Amino acid sequence: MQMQVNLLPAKYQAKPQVRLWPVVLTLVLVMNLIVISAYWVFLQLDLAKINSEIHTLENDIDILQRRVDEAQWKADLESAVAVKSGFIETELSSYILWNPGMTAIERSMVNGLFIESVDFSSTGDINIGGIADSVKTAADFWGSLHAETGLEIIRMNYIEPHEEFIVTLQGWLGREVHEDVE
Amino acid sequence: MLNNLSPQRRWLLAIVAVILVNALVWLYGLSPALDKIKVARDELQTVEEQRDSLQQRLDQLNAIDIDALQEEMEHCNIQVPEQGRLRELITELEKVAQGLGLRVVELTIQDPTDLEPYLVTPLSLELIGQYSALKKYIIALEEHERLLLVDNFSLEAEDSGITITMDIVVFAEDFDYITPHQAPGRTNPFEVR
Repeated sequence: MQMQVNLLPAKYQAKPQVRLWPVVLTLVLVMNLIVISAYWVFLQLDLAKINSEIHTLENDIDILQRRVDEAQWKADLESAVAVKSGFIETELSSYILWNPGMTAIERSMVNGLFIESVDFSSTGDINIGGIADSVKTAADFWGSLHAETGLEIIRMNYIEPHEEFIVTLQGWLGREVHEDVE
Repeated sequence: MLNNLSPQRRWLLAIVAVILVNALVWLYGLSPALDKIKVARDELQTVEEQRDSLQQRLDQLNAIDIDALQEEMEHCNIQVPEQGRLRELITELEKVAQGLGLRVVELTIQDPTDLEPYLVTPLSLELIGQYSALKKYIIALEEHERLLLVDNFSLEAEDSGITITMDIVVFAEDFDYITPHQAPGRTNPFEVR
């Protein structure tokens, strides 16, 4: 059996061939590991930052919620005022203002006629009963009621000179009658 | 064993190994972290929206003009009071009538009924006096600081003057509020004094 012995000093001995691929592979793996680790750390930091922001915001929300709860009475008051003022407006608009109607009747009066009864009904009808000395007097009163009230429907129902007349105004809504300048 | 592979196969194996490692790292490391971040970002967005909404609500509440509202509420509470105070009201109705030279002949008070969200009490009044005073009385009711609505009325000429019969309504949140009056008392209630 033959045996080869290299008797050259070590520094003159042929060096084994350097294998490149394990080195490259190791480098790539290390680099890859570094990049991935850095990215993972970045993600963890980002997550911690977001969680911190959430925590801060939740504290802010707690404070804001307390302040909103404390100020809620303002909204309740606003709502109560809206309900009450709306109710008052609705009721006011659904009822008739009568005193301008009385004023209109006063202004419609003509000589030779006087009133014995007036009925102001909630439907807006005004029934007037009285005595006129003639049909013409009652007719003049009818016309003056038209002029003073502006109502379209005014019906003279009955005239008996020196005895009785009945006139009905329909649809009085409480419109304002302009005051005469005296 | 690796030494027995050709260089091309070694490179291929190395690339596969790198890809495999990366896939595992992605699967068990990065992907869960990214998912957590996505969930956290969604939560952050929700919390931010909640904060903005609350801030907006607070701004709205702070923008309410409380002084004006309280003033308006006081005015409304005069028109439709919390307590009906019917005893005080009918006393005042008679006082106003007497002030105008009118005499109260009759006063009827009906039970309160619901008129959401408040209560309404109808009253019937019969007074006698001069026409001008009766008209002033109607105006006084219509211009009263409390919401007194004249539903209907009729005027009738009589020998002693003009009689007016009217139905009015008053409103309040509660008509059962007690307004006590301290009476002097009398040992014999049948004694005319």
